[in-house]
Amino acid sequence: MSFVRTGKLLSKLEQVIDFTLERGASKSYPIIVGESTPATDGTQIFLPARESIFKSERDNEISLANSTAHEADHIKEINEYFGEEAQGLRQEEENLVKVYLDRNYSELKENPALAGFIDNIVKDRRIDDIRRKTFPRIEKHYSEAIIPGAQYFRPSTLIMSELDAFNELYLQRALLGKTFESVPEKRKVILDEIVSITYSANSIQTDKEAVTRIYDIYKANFDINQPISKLPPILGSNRHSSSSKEDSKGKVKDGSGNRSEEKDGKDGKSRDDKENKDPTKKESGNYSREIKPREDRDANDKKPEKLNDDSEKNNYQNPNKNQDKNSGPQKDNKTQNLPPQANRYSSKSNNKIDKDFYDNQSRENSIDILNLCDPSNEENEDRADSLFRGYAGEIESMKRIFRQLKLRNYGEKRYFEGQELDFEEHLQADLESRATGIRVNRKSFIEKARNKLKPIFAIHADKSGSTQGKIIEAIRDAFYIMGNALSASEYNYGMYVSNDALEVIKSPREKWSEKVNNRISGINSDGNGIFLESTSRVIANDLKRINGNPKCLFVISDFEICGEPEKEKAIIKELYNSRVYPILIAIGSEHEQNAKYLTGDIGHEYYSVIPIDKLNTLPQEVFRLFKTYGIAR
Amino acid sequence: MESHDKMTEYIIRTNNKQAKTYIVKTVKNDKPVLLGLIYTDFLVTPQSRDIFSEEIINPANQKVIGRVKLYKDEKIISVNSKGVFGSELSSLSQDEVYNEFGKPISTNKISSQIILAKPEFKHLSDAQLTHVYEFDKKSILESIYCFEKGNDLSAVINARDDNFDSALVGLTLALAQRIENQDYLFEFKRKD
Repeated sequence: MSFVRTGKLLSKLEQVIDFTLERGASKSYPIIVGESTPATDGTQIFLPARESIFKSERDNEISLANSTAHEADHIKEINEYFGEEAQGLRQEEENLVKVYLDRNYSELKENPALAGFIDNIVKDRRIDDIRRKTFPRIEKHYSEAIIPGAQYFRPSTLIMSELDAFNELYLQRALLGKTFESVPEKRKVILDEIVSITYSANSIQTDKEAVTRIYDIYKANFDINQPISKLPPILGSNRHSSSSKEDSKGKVKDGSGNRSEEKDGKDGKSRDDKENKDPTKKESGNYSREIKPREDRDANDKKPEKLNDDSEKNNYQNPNKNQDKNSGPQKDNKTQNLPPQANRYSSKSNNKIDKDFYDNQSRENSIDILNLCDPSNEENEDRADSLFRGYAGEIESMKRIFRQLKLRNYGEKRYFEGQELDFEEHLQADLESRATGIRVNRKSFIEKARNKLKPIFAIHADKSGSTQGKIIEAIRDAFYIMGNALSASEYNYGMYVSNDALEVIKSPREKWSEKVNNRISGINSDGNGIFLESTSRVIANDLKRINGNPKCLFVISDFEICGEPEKEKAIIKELYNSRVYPILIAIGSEHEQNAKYLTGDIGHEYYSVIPIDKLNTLPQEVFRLFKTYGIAR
Repeated sequence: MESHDKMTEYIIRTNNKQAKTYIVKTVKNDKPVLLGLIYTDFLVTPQSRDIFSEEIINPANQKVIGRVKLYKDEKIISVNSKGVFGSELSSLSQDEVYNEFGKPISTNKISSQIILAKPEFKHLSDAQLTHVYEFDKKSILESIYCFEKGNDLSAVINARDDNFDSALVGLTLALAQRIENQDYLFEFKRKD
C-alpha cells in the first residue's frame, strides 16, 4: 500500500493555499497536521498526518492537495461572508465556522446537527463543483479516483435509520452526482427536490435560504428530533472534508447527532441532558442546546463527584479552547518560533489535566509515570511509516469491523437508548404512593439503555529487558494495529508500557493522533521487570475516570514480576471485584504458570498464552480478547 | 572551489509585481547587462495563463533565445536553446536527476542553515538565502546561490566560463524549487 506523509508535502500544500486564497495566505491560515479529517475552523486548515486511500502515491498526493484547496475555499467563502469583521473575530480567537452557524441557523432548533450537516453539503457541493469545472485534472481525479473509490467505501444504508439512510443518499447524490444504492420510491421526489435546492445555492449568501428550505423539507417528511449519525466521510475513513474542525463542530455536527455519551461529553452534555433541553434558550455565542439539570436535581446542586471532572473532560476532549488560546493561528509569532515539526501537530495530548492526574497517581502509588511525552523525531516517524506499510491492510480490515459495529450500534440505539416513560405505570405508581404514603419504586421508566455505555479498556505491556528482540517488536505491532484500528471506533482505550516505570502511550481520553503512533514506534525494551500492583492501580484509576462498561485491562507480559507474589495476585482479584476485568496475556508457554497463578482467584479464562514461536498472533489475540471481553460482554 | 575572480556571475531575478523574470550578467566595476527576459515570474495563480512553456527573450531585439519547459516528459523543468525543437541545455527530472547537455551531473544541494553556519558566509544571514547548489567539475557551473524575499526569487549563478549558455543552464536549478513546490498547481492547471 502506498501512502504519503502530509508533513513532507507542507511546502507544496502551502502553495495550494496561496494559490487558492492569495500569495502569502499560508502564513495567516496555517496547516495543522494530525487530524483524522480534513477540516477548517475558518482560520486553520486541519489535515490528516498521512493519506493512503489510493493505490497510487500520486493519487494520494492529489487527494491531499485537493482537500487543502477545498478547505482553503471554505476559508475564502468565510472571508467573503464576514468581510472586515473576520479579522476581528480571528483576533478574538473565535471559531468562524461556529460563529457562522450560530448566526444563521439558531432558529432551526429541532436538530441543529442536521442543519449543520445540510449546510456542509450545500457548501461542499458548490466548492467542489467550481473547482471541478475550473480544473480539468480535478474533474479527472473525481471521475477516475474519488467516485469509483466511494463505491467501495460508502456505508450501506440498509442498517441505518431512515433519516441516516436518507442523509447518506443525499450526500452521495449532491457530492458524487449519483447514489450507489437505490433510493426508496417514496423518497425519490424529496431527494430530487433537495438536491435541486442544493444546486441552486451558488454563494455563501444564499446558503441560509437553501439550508432552511431543505431543513423544512426534512421536517415535513422525517422525525428530525431524532439524533443523526455522523456519516463516514467521502471515501469511507477520513477523507471527506467538513467545514469545521471536528472538535469545534461538535455542537453542530456531533452535537445532537451522535448518540454516545462520550461523544456528547465533548460538550459536557449527556444525551439525557439534551433531551431535557429548553429550546427557547441558547448558550451565548454557541450554536448549541441549553442544558437543564436532570429532573431530580436542583440546578444549583453540584454535580456528583464522579462527574465532577466533567469540566476536565471537556477541557480534554474539546481541547479547542485550549488550543485556540495556546496555539491558535493568530499567534503566528509563536508558530514561527517553534520548529516546524513541533507546531504542525495539534497539541491536544499535552493536556494538563491528564498530567496532573498522572502526577498524583505517581505520588500515591510510588511509581514513576512518564506521561504523554512528545515523541516526534525522524527515527520514530520512519518506524511508524514502516509499521503502517506492514499492517495497513490488517488495520483497515479491523477498522471496517469497528465501523460496522458503530453503525450497528447506532441503529439499535435508536430503539434502546434512553429511558422511555411508561405513563400508565408512572401514574398508577404516583396514585398509590399518595394513597399509601409509601414511596414507590422510582423506576417509572422502562429501562432500555443497555447499549448506553461503551466498553473501556487498557492494554498494558511489559517492556522490561526480558522482552527485548522479537517480543517487544510483537508488542509494538499489537499496539500499532489495535490502536489504529480502534481509532475508527468510539471506544475509549488507553495504552501503557512499563518496566520499573509506567509510560503512558495513550491516555483513555486522548484522541488518536499521529503522536500516539510515534510514541508506539518509540517503545523499546529496557529496565527491570514490571510492578503489576502499582501499575494496575494507576491504570484502573485512569479507566475509572471515564463512564463506560465493561472496563478491561489487558496485561501483556511474561509475569516475571518484581513485587511480592501475594500482593500481585491480590491486585488481580481487587481489579476484578472493582469491575475492571484483568485479562493476562502471557508471552511464552513457559510463563503460563505465572499467569495461571495470578488468575487463580478469578478464573483461568482470564489468561491466555502466546508461545514464542507464534508471537505474530499477538495482535489478533488482543483483538479476539477485546471482542470477547469488551464488546460482547 | 575555484577563485571567484575567474568566474562569470549571472543573476536570475523574478519580479512578482511585474510578473517578469530577468537574466542579468554582472560586470565588475560596471553596470549589469540585461541578457534575457521572461514574461512570467513562474508563480501560478488561478488567473495566470498556461505557463508550461515560456520563451526567453533577448530584450535588445525581442527575439527568442531560449525556452523554459515545465512538467514535460517526466521533467520538472528544462531549458532549451532557441527554436521550438531547440536542444536541451539543462533539465531536472522528477526523480531529481539534473542534466546538462543531456548528461547527468551530480549536484550538492545545501540548506541555508549549513551555509550560514560557516563564518565566511555570515554576511548572507540577512539576505534571505534559502539554499545553495554546488556542482562537480563536469558542469559548466560552479555554484548557484538561491534567495527568496516575499514572492521574489533571486539566484546568483557562478559559471566557469563567460558564455551566455551558462546563464540559461543555471536557470533550471534557479527556478527548480519554485516550480517543484507548485507541483500540484501545475497538475490542477494541466489540460491534457
